[in-house]
Amino acid sequence: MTNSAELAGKMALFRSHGMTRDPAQMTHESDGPWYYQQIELGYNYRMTELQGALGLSQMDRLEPYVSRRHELARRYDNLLAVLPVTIPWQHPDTYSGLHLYLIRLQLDKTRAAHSRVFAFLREQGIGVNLHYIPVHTQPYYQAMGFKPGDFPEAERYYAEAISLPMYSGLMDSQQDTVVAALRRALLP
Amino acid sequence: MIPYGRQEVTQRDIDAVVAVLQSDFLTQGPVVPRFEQAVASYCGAAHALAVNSATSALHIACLALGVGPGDWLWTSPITFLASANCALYCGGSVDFVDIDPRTYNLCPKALEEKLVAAEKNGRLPKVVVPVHLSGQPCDMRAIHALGQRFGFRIVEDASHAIGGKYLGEPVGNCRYSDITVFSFHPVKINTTA
Repeated sequence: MTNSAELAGKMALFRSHGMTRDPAQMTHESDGPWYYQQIELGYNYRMTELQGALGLSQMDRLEPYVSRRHELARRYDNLLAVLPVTIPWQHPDTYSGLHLYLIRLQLDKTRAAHSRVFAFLREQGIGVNLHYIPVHTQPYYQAMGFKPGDFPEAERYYAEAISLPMYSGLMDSQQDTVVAALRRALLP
Repeated sequence: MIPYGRQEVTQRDIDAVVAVLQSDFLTQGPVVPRFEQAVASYCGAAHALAVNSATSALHIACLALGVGPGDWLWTSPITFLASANCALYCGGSVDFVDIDPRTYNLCPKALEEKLVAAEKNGRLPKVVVPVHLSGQPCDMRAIHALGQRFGFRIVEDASHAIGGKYLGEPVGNCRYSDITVFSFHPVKINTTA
């Protein structure tokens, strides 16, 4: 997305081999109706029509999807209030798309270890995840000179965070199952 | 297994895809431009360009902004690899700005401190990529103001945030950025597969 015609034009070139069929962009007059010119080094990054059709069809349901995610988030907020976890604070300027529901374990208030809670939830059939591993700690980035300790707030987050199931098709009963499993993990 | 995220595909979605399969164009036809138009008008942005992944979108965003050898891109460490790798694809360099302890998004105060230091060393970033983690928009007004002051461009990584709003307006309208990138991976809010 952009409001700049110039950036949009450049990105249109880069997504498709740097090719243009627009005579105005060519270095000389077109050879004929078949003619195209490569004026940049671009890539083959185009979306297919099948993907476009699915995306277009889904756009109509975007708002109900996000609303359902907010309902689920409010339910989580209430259900988790009694557990030693930090629920995701929402800045008053924002209305989240709520792709993820991120909690942080309050490790000073539970004897359970982060990795153990995560493993327990997976054993219970809860497909929790962790978004994300701090990028600077990846071996490829450490080879560039980054090291653990460089971004302490991010690393503290990583040591406590868990992504709970969050999607528009998640049922309240499944969400209750998630919370019950988390309770067992944290308050054994 | 209850997954952490899952797509929802209706019969209408299936019919729409089958209709394309039975049409004249499987690629470079009329449907992708219609999808682009739908997203642009939803967000209130002038232009939308659909590509095959948000990673590709970040790459061409960096190319369009002229990222190359000697240029720095700064982003949050709490993000998927692609938010940083996009600069490396262009021969640029990457650095990070620590997160806000409450929103887990790139912290504008940490950004300002790092910019002041970078200005002294002559290593200001060309591009900053605020990532709207979990779908919650970053403090875009503050980041945009810093962009004006220090002269960097802004690419919003809104891979988690389609359908979200900032100060009552849709994420993707690029009011506080040069370019915004969405993801339609199947675990996301809506999908293109």
